[in-house]
Amino acid sequence: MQLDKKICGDCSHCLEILQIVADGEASPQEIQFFEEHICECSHCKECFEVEQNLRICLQQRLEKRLVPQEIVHFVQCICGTTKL
Amino acid sequence: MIMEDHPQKYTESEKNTIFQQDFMPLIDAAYNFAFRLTLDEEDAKDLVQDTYLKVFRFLDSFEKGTNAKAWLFRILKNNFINDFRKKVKEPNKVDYQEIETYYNSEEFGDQRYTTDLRLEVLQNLMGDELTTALNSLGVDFRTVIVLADIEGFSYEEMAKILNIPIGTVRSRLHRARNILKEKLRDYAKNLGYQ
Repeated sequence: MQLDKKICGDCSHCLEILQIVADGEASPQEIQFFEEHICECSHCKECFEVEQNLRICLQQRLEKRLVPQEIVHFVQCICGTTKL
Repeated sequence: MIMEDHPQKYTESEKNTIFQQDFMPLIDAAYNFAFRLTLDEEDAKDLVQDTYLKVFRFLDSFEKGTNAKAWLFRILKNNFINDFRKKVKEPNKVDYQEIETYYNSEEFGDQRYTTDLRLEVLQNLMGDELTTALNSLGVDFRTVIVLADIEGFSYEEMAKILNIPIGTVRSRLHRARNILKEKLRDYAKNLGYQ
């Protein structure tokens, strides 16, 4: 799918608040403006989908490590035996 | 969080209970955060150990029932800045305040959003490629992405963890994600995506 490069008058504000909306930190007014705008603007809609997918990728595709057992043991000892 | 010895608020038994119930379940998250800061397994282990020592030592300044994860991550981040970053790793560390001033200047006013990254690139992205791109960011940019997108902290929680204003959290995060997208776009170009 090719990105529609056309930027309308509202796009600059829309792109400005895009990440705030995707982060769930936008005000009700910003959300309303954003939702009304992306109904009519494929460019901003796709940018929003990219933002959402980037967050999903970061949450799901990065390796999550388990802390080595030696560290768990050390930390358990802190409250059991270690005098601080 | 104030890192000073408070008058004793909890008994030894209460301290042990809080430590076990509120902080031990967070140790994997703490280790992953430490690893993403240091990019080194041994350094991450040392950082987690030092952090948990401080957690226990300063437990009287923790309000039971408040956000233990944010409190723990703030100690870990401070520990990294104060004790760790000095020792190694980033002799040519970037001054992020300088970068923020630069990128937030009028010159960059309307060009700050990176729009060229395509959805199909993200959908075909492997974890290793994402890791490489993320790890290539400066530590301050990497940190905000980890806190927001991997650990799910709010702007307000991040402001407390990092001890910076919410507006700075927002602009740093915005800039960090744009740099990450630029790196992923470059990667996609190298793979032949148009």
